[in-house]
Amino acid sequence: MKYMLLVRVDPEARPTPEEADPAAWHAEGARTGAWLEGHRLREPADATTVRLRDGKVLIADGPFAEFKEHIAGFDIVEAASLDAAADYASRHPVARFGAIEVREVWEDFDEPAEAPATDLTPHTPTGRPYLMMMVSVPDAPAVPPGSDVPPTAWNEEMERRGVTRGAHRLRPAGEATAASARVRGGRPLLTHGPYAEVTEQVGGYDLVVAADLDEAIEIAAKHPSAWRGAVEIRPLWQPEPQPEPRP
Amino acid sequence: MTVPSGPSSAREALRAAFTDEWGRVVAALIRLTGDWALAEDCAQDAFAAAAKRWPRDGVPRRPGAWLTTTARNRALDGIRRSTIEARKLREAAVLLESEGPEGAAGGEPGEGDAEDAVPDDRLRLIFTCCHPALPMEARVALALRTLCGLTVAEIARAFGTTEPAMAKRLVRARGKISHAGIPYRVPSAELLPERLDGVLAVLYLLFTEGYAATSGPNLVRGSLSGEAIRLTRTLDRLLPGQPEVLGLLALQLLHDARRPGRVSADGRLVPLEEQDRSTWDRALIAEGAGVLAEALRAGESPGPYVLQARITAHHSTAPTAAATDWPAIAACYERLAALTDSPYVGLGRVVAVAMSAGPDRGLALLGDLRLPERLPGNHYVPATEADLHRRAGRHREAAEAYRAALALVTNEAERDYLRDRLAYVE
Repeated sequence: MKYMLLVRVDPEARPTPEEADPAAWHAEGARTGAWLEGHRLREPADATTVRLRDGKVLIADGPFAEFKEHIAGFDIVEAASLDAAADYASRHPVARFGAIEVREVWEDFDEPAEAPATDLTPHTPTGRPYLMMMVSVPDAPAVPPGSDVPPTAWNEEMERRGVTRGAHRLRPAGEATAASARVRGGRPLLTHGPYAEVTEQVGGYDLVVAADLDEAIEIAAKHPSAWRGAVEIRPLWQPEPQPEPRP
Repeated sequence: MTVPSGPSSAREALRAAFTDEWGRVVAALIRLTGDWALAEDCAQDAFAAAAKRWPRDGVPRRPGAWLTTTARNRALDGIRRSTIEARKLREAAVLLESEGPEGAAGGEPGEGDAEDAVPDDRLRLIFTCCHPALPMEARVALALRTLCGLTVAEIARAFGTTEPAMAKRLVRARGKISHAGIPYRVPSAELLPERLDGVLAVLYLLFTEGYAATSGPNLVRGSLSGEAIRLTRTLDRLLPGQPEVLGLLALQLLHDARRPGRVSADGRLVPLEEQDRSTWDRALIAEGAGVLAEALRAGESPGPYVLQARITAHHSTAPTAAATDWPAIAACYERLAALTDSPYVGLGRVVAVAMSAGPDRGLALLGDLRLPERLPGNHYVPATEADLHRRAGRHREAAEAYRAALALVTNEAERDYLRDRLAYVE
């Protein structure tokens, strides 16, 4: 079964780059076949949350919900069970000074297992990759009142535009489908159930490549999660050198 | 060719150029380099070079073109020296070549037709600074730094924070623009109305911050209001004929005209009805009224800024407080209330209704609009209740409400005003 690991970092923790380096963890997972893919995200200050309310697009700075440990990246892993996924997660270096949130992927929704690895190469030289976290309120209606847009319209349009680069839906977070792995004082601590008791839960994600944030906002606002809850847009950390902001 | 000038007129020209050209230079440099901090540094360098050269060599015929070219050459030198990828350098070189021969040569800033060749990028800069994905306080700070040229220390002082904290806020905002890919462009026609609302909200906030500081002894911080007016004028020049831009400009001018009467010689807040109307700036009122007329000529059904400007115009053109056309003001508030659910609009409407139909009608509306519940902790609600009870001659109720307002107020001048009122009814 597939699991999504949300790597949560405590901003007050000050690990050295070596302590936080997941290279060995990735290598272990690549050897055993547990690690499928992973991406590092830009900091939460670079996040934008999009909601659609009463036909109006509402744009807000920052993540959809602020927790002490913020999401710094994510991985998709293959494991026999939730506990096996959590066991691998607890060996992630960030488990020692943050937490690894484990969520079961809803495989019924997924593409076939032989789907190619996510290719984030933009179609245009100016395209940028974004992670869109689809956040829903569990009991939100399936269709917006008075709407005749089919629920698959978003996927079809984005497929046509060539902007989507992989997606997973997640099972609702419960005792059997979600856990948080931490290591404190050298000992693994495993908590079953949702990471936090909040109404809005991450229900899945899409990786998209868009020209800029305005296009990403437009894509997010069209997704059903925009009115069922919210869509959090997180720029992916890009390896190319970028001029860093200076004071 | 330079204008013959001595050091003092060069200083004068430099001051004027800073006011007029800073935003243009920064905006052009951001387009050229994509690097906000580099753009500000290069603009700073260009003005420093002007301070050295203008008194000696004379003021260039086109100071703006001189400054932009100098800043551009500086940026190109910086890009050549730094390790920024070669692609960016190529783009920069292509842009320089396409924009005039004097740029790429890297020599002395030319006197040619550079000004016509340098497009005005400030409109892009305005929309990018005011992008809704940026936190509101960052939008205001970015606008003041990049468009108005205020220093980080000045912005920090204006918002009651420390220089390092303000510098960090600016770094974070520029970082988000770069990392999240906030585009540097004027929004498409489809997005424009919505994004223009966001720009106007920033300019409105900047003006009101300058007009009534939320805390501290300095009630009127003229510089912020002045910068807001200047930016709104620029926006109107770059995006002409937008009724709401004109409405906001009229609103600002008509308010600013009353500034001289708003605070007494000993620093006390003077309520509108007691202000000496001869101190008001007649020229500004006339200009504001003219801009408002232009906004109304656009013919659309008036938006929130046009309606607020109309309300302000009724106040600013009334010869005496008693001659104020309160029924017309109440009608404007009613239309405004239909457009926005703001409790502050409700509060203004309460006062207008009280003045035109009696204090008890006002108090009834205040309850109907549930303003005490919607603005908990805000001193304006009990202060308004107190004023209406006082007007109705119920001094005991008025005193109670003034005391409630005093417990909530944070602005020193407003606290003094409420104390005076309380003393009067006690």
